[in-house]
Parts: sequence; structure tokens; C-alpha cells
Amino acid sequence: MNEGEDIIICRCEEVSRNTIEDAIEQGCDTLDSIKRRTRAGMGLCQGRTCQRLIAGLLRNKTGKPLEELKPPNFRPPFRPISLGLLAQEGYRLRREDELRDGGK
Amino acid sequence: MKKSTDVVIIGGGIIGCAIAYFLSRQIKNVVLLERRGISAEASGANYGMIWVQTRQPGYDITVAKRSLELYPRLISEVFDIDIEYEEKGGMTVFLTELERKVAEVVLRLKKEQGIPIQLLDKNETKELEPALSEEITGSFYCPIDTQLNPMLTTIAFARAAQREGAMIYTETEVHSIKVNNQAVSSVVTNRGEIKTEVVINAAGSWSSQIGEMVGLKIPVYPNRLQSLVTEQTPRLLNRVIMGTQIPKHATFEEAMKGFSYTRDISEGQVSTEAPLYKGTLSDNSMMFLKPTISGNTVCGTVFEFAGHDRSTSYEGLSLIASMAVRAVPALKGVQAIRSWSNFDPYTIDGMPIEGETEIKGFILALGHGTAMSQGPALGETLTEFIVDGKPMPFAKQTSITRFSSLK
Repeated sequence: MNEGEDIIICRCEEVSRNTIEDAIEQGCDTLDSIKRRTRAGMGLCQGRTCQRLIAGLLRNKTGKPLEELKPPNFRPPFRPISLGLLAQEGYRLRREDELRDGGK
Repeated sequence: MKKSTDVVIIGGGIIGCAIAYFLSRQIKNVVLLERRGISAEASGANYGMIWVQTRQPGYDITVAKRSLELYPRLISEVFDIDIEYEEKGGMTVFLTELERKVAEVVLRLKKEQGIPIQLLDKNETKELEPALSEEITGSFYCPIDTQLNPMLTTIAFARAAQREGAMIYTETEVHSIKVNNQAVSSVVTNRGEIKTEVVINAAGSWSSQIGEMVGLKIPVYPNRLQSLVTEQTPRLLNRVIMGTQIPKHATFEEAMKGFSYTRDISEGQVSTEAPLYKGTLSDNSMMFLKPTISGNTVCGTVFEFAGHDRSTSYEGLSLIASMAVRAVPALKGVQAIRSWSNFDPYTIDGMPIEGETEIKGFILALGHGTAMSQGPALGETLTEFIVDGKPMPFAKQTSITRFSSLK
């Protein structure tokens, strides 16, 4: 890659290196604040690909050692799951409550 | 960090950042301290609504309408980032005949309160939102309801405050507050001590811990809301859609209460002990769907009191998914990619706690359950209070003294 050429860092949200470096220059000095500002890591893969690249950019720009960079929280679901499948248990819980209330 | 300042604001959410902006236009030395990052807590997980249709008379409606006046001006003249502000109206949908019948009564009350609300039948509702289920019996539609991106709005206020000269310190935790002769004198943090005569407690659901530092009991509790977000899709919905909290087998009177979003604190009825919800998680759930500009759909929500435990549960997320697909069947095949929980600063009457306290210079700006619609208006009024000594509007409804008769 040529010096100065822009590349996509977060493929899910199509966030480029320049966008991330701009955010760092504007004061985002944690992985979490970069994510909030640029959407990098908010997509389908939830940062599995780009977080390490962003951590590298942040270290290069700020001099913060990698081990001091706290990764954003990982949250369920650990793989995407369809709402239809996830809803099954919710329907069951709701039916239980409706049976309970139906008697009154 | 600075050694002394005129005002210290504790909390980098929408409330603290909006106050920082309005205040720093009048006062030179404003410092904002934030334990994590800007919009790292409830203001980042917030649903980003400025809704008028669910607001109660008095403080609530006045403040929401004022913020709706302020935002367009802030967007065109002040903010340097796009906050995804969309004046698309808001919709409360009904899934049962009972809800629709109660809505007819509620419609009259809302109109008397000056809320521009329309009661739509099933066909009119489906015309505005074709993706809604055939089960829908009707809806309330309020054209002035607005949505925005809460994270970016909070960041926009913080940046505007910095341009006005405010100093913002993130990853800065308050350890103690020094009080001399019943007056605030300094704030001690992990980065050192800062002298100040004014401290504004805008720490949301953590505000009671800040209150303890000066010996003040503040009845605000973390109400945990769970949410999930879907992958990006072509836009399914045109605007924010909410359900009601009316159980299927409710009586008419119970159903009327389901349309009321504030709580009565008449003496003896409640105490200032941490509250608990009655019933199961499913009883304490409400359908919420927000289509975002990026193409994701935010889905909510279930409420519970679980301290500051940040986890989400299978039970909670499955209930959220079931409400979402019931209202919008096309969501069945859409993937959930992330979940989160946040802590709504719950007060027993649903009203915020604002203004002065028995400790001189210790000012409250907390307990805001609809903070995106309350922040800008509060930034204005609290600035007038601090700079000009102008009394806070609706002080009777919002002052901490309203709890003094409670045990």
C-alpha cells in the first residue's frame, strides 16, 4: 500500500483509516470512543476483524501501549441469530403469563 | 488537570454535556468530569427520542416542546457533527381491541393537554407503516415526535461545550467531595483535587453515590433496560414504533394506567427504599422499535432492578425479539447482532430531581428518564439559575424537597 492511500479498516460499516485517524486527532483516545464516533466495529462481525487494526492505529497515533487499550465490551449474541428464532422462548414466557392472568 | 474552577459538572451524559454547553457560554471556567467516556453510559444506550405524545402536563410537556425548539437551532448554528435528527413523527400501536377502546378516552385527555395527537384506525396505521402486522388494531400518531442519535447528540454537545471553553476530563473518577460549613469547596478525583464552589451532580443512575459524598440521600435507582439491535436492512419502518404496557387481560381501569407514564407519590403510598417491579420480566416489558439512519433496527425492552449489573439475559432478549416479530413479522428473518443493557435513572414518581440542595453549591441535575428531550431545556434553565439566580421552573415538581415527607 502506498503512503497516504486510504483503506477500509471496518469492512462491515465501511469505515476508512482516514476517518478513524481523524477521530483520534479530534480526541477519541479509547477503542470505545472511536467506535461511538465512527461506527467502526458496530457491524455484523462486531469488530472481530477491525478492533486489532484500530488498536494499532491508536497506538501509532497516541503512543498508548496496546495492553492499556481496553476492548469494547462483547455482548450476546456471539453469532448473529434471527429474531424469529430468538422469539420462540419469548413467546413461551408470554404464554405462561397469559395463562396465569387468564384465570382472574 | 486544572487546580480550581467556577463549576464542576459530574457526568458526561446528555444532561452534563448540555449543561456544560449552555453554562460555558456564560461562565468562563466550566469543568466536566466523566468516569468513563462521553455518552459511555445511558446516553449511549438511550433510544434517542423526543416524544411529546407520552409526556405528562406541566414540566414534562413544556420541557419536551422547548427542546424541540432548541434542537433545530443547535443543529444549524452550533453542532459540528450530524446527529441524525429526523422529524418523522412517533407511533404507539395497539394490538388488542381493549387498547384501542382505552385510546379513545386517552385521546380526549391528550388533546386537552395540548398534544397534537391523532387516533388512527388499522388501515390508516398500515398506510403509514406497511410492515406492521395484521394484528394491529390502530395507533396513536403524533407528527411532532422526533428521533435522533443519542450518542452523537451527546458528543455534539460535548464538542460545542469545548469550543465555548469548557474543559472535559474523561476517564476521571470522582472519589470525594469536600464540604466546608455546609458549602462545597472541592472535588477529589483520581487525577487530583480541583477547587470549586459549585458542583452539579449529573451522574444519572450513579447520582445517589455522588450524593452520599456530601451526606445527601438522593432517591434515584438504576432501572435496567435491555435492548438489542439488528443487522442493517432496507428500511422496514419509517419512524419509532412503541407498544403499550397493557396486559392482555387487563380491566379498563388498569389499561388506562398503562397509558400513564408518570407515577403518583402521594404520601404513605411509597417509600424512598429501592423499588421493585411486580410480576415477571414479561409483565415489565414494552415493545419498542427504532429504525436508524444506518439501517439497523433497535429493539426493546424489558425493565428490572438489578443494581448496576451490565449483563443482558436470554429471557430478556427473547421477550424483546417476540414483541418485535409480533408487531413487524418481516423482522423474523432479520439477524440480531448485539445486545446491551443500560441504567435509566429511576425516581419513584418518574420526574427528575433538579436544582439546589441544603448544601450550598451542590446542585442536582439527575433522574431524567427521557433525557434527550430534557437535556437541552435543562441546560438553559439551570444556566439561568446559576448565572442570574432565576428560579428553576416547575421547582415544586422537580426539587428534592418533594421527597422530604417520605420515609
